[in-house]
Amino acid sequence: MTKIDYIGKCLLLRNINKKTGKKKKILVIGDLHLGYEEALNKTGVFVTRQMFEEMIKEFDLIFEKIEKKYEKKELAYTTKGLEIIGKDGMIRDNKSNIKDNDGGVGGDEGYVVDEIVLLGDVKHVFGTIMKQEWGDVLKLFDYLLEKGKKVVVVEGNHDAILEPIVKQRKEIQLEEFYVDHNVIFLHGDKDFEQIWDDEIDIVILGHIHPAVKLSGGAKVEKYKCFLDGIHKNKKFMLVPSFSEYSKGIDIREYEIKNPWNIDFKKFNVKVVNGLKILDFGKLKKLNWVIIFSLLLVI
Amino acid sequence: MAKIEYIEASKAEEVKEILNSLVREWFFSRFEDFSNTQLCGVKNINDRKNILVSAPTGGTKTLTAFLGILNYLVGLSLKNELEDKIYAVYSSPLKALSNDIFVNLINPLKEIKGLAEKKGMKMQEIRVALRTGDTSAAERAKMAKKSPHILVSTPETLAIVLTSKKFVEKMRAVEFVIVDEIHAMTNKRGVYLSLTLERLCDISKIEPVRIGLSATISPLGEIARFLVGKDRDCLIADVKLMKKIEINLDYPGENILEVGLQENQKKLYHILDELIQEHKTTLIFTNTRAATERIVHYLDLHFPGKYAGLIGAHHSSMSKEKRFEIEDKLRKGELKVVVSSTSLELGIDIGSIDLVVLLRSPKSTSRALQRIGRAGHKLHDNPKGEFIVLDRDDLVECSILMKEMIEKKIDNAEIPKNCLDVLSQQIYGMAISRIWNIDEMLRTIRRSYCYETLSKEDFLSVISYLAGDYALEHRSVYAKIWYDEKTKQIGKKGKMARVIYMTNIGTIPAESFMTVEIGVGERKGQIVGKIDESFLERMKRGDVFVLGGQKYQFLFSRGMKAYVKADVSRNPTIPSWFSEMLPLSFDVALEIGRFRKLIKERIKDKKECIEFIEKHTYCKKHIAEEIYEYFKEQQGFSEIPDEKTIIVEKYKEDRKEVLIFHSLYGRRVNDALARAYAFAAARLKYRDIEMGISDNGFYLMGEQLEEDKIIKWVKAKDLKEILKEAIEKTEVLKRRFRHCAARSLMILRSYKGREKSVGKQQVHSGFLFVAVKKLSNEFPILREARREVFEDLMDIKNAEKVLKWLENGQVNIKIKKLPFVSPFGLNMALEGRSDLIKMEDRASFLKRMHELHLKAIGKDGF
Repeated sequence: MTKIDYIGKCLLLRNINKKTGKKKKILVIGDLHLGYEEALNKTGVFVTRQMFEEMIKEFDLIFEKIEKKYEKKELAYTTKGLEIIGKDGMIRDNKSNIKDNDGGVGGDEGYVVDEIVLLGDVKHVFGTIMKQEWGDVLKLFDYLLEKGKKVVVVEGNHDAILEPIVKQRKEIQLEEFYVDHNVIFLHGDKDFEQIWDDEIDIVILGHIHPAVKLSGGAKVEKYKCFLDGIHKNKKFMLVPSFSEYSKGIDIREYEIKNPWNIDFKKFNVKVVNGLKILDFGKLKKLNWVIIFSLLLVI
Repeated sequence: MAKIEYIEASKAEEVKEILNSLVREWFFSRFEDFSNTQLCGVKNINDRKNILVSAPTGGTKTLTAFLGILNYLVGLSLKNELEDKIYAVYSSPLKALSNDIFVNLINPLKEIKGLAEKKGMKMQEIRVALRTGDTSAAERAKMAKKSPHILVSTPETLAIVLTSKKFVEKMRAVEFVIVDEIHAMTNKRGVYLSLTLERLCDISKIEPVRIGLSATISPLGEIARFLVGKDRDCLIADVKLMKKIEINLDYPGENILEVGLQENQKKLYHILDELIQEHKTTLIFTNTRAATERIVHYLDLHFPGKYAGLIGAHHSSMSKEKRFEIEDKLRKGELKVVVSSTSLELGIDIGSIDLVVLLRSPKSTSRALQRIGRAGHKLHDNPKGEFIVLDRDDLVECSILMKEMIEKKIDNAEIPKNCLDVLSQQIYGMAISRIWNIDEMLRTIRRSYCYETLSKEDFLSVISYLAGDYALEHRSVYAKIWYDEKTKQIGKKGKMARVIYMTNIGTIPAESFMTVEIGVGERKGQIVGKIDESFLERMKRGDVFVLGGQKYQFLFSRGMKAYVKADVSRNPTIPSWFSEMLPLSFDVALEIGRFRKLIKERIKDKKECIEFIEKHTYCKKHIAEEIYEYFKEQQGFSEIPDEKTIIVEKYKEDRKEVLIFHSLYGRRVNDALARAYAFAAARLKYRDIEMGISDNGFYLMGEQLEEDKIIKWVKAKDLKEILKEAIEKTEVLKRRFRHCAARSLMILRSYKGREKSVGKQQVHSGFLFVAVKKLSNEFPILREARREVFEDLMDIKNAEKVLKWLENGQVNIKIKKLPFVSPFGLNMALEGRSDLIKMEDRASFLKRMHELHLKAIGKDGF
């Protein structure tokens, strides 16, 4: 059983192990493209190195929110043998042996979540590792290792030479894809047969960098978004890129090929607005003209 | 206070006296007498006075500038006193022109030398060197070794020379600087040059005399200040040659509404043919490249074989070789007719043209004069021009242009001020040359006319950008200069500085073509053609345009690709020639507004009114009658907008409401106004607004437009803020930012031996744009991009002025609710569709509308 929450540009999964009743929180992070600035500098574009600091600031907010949101309230769920509806609307199996709280990790260990999954393209440059990448990727790993007990990186197409950096931190797990119960995490450029295992209900991808253009009449603005929908009985969820340098691609304007030939226009749009999410319904039904104030007010 | 003073011609005797006997003998062996320009210029240059010489094309400006200098150098060389230094620097914006001048300067020198030899006089060699972007490294090295006495260059190469150590040593005592074609420098290139000249003055121990050469331009006082900079005196010689302009205005066929009909199309080419046959060589200006090709094609079609080998096209999309070939043929007199868009307006001698045809309005008097000035290039010929117009708005516009030209009123040019991107590049160059004290640097910069009012904050913000202050610990990557606050000193940073500077210098943005690709649907990925980058700049999402006869809807652009949707049913919203179209100047626009008012006052009395139009614009009677009919229809159906009244017409079309603002202020002003009102309309209703901009006004189209609220919402004091908001996410700002980022060296076109394609630059500048905005919304280069959009592309100052007029009642807005579009509104409503509608259809449509208007007005008219 999996409950998925949106926290800004990230997803927070809460999985309950049916057998053990053990629950864990997994934070999912989209494409990062660290080191892009140095790559630009090398070609004579003097963009400043501010991306990393900004990312960490954003991560701080995200973890802060997770801590606030899932702290303590779980005490209500401890009564054995009752069907419990949590404040978050999640229906729990009354047989499961829920002991203390919703999050697996306790405050003692100091972790905010149990696992962190990076959906690939952690670094930007293909053939080599640049100075900024060494520094930033390691700094990011160290930061994440403080927040999560375990950090998994699924390999993206930009990550051809990520291994030497990963090896520096033995706690980091580098995988082609990663499965947790009924959820499979992958970058999104390649197909894996494991997706189609019966066990799997949910497929979570990065790579596509989904975004939507919304207009208030006077001007058009692009927003990062999640896309989700059902394809062959599996729920596919596209996570936006985390990097703020590019907002992403509006699929209505430019169709990105995917290994499964899924028409993402049939998917649902959830627009990222700060740490909040706005549901806009199906992408193909989404009118170009959306009342701007919606985004400003909410 | 510096003195700017107009001067009269000196007496021929005085000028003769100045010349030493050898030069005098040479001069009179070649020319009968001094020209008026020479009488104005030569003596003053000899007296070492700064001078701006303005004379129509066909004058003898260049020789005027050089005669005094040659005279001085020949004098020195005869006395064997010629030093090994650069005495005079000549700058011209045109590379080809530099070549031209080179030849014209070398020849007189040769002839004078020959004369001296014949007389057994001993003379040192006077060396002239040409340095442009095309000069080879070997030639450059030679120049640095054996210094030329006269250096011929472009503004860019002059700046390069100033950072070259060896050359600078030869420039420690420059005595003369000639700025040719200064009328073509009222842009960032000119701003750049003005700073280069200040740098030259800083290097040179003596203040060089500045000589500016200009075609007809206004206001001369400002141009003179631009030439000399702050606190320097300047003389102005406004040489009005005895030339009388012969000029005529007409349209093909009997009735201007029927110009587009097939039989009248034929008439157009017959008129052109007649004119061409009556003259030796004819030059036709068309405003757009497509029209240039069309005219050439149809002339050939209507007169098979007649023009084979005798006709040529000349426009900026043609290859350099092809253009040179046409120019060469022109000089040799091998062509009977040449058709050009704008590219033949400037510069190089193109031989004996005796008629210039202006097809459609040239949009400003100075441009019209410049174009017509291409005829009668020979000294004593009169320039002869013929306006041929194809619609009613052009008819009115050109008759006013004709009036202004005949009355010698010229619209005012504007020079950009305080451009921070150009400043960045120049400060870098200055720091490469030597170490500066910061106050001294600012003083030098402020001596330029373009930076007189530069604030210390702006200056420091550029210094801070160049010193990499915003990059914190990564400063070393970004810093181009260092600034020590204690010692107040500034110097260059990095071993590569000089190379980076030299390979990335200049202000002309690299523009190119965008590939148009289908982004969605069945034909996804298919490439359908190419469009001009500057055309794309004007497009917003959802705009429909025509390419190769097909309609496409613009989606977005990425790098050098524009993605579109095919199979659109909507009407085109933006004509493909839009970006090529020159904007109507504000001054001429106001003059037309005044003209409208004068007609409106007389409209009831047909006879009096027609006589008035004839007298006022110097046009023929049937032209005046056409203009009268046009105005009468407008007055009957709606109301004539004029200098005191903006008429806003409201009608419905396909369930949408249309507001046509008849604000006759030129496209640059209307661009600002339209965007502000569209923004207001969108804000008030949160609906998509379609808008169209033209010289005569603009329209908004959308569901439920509340004109009163929209008009009230936009105030003069808020205009800048509204526009800042309105352009924030637009293509135009992003593109201008790319240009500014390249000029300020935030993006290097050429780095470590690699050239960056325009596409790469565009993609990269996108990221830079995001990053810079995060640093500060007021980052100097971002601010400069906005300034460029507001002041150079649009005309925010005059737009504010118009809004103020509205607020203080000097101009009123009147709303007219109409059943359909008015006669004056027709061209505006049609503009977007002009690519799609065939000329014939357009003509029959206009005719149909005309009948509808007449029906609505009723028989007697009012």
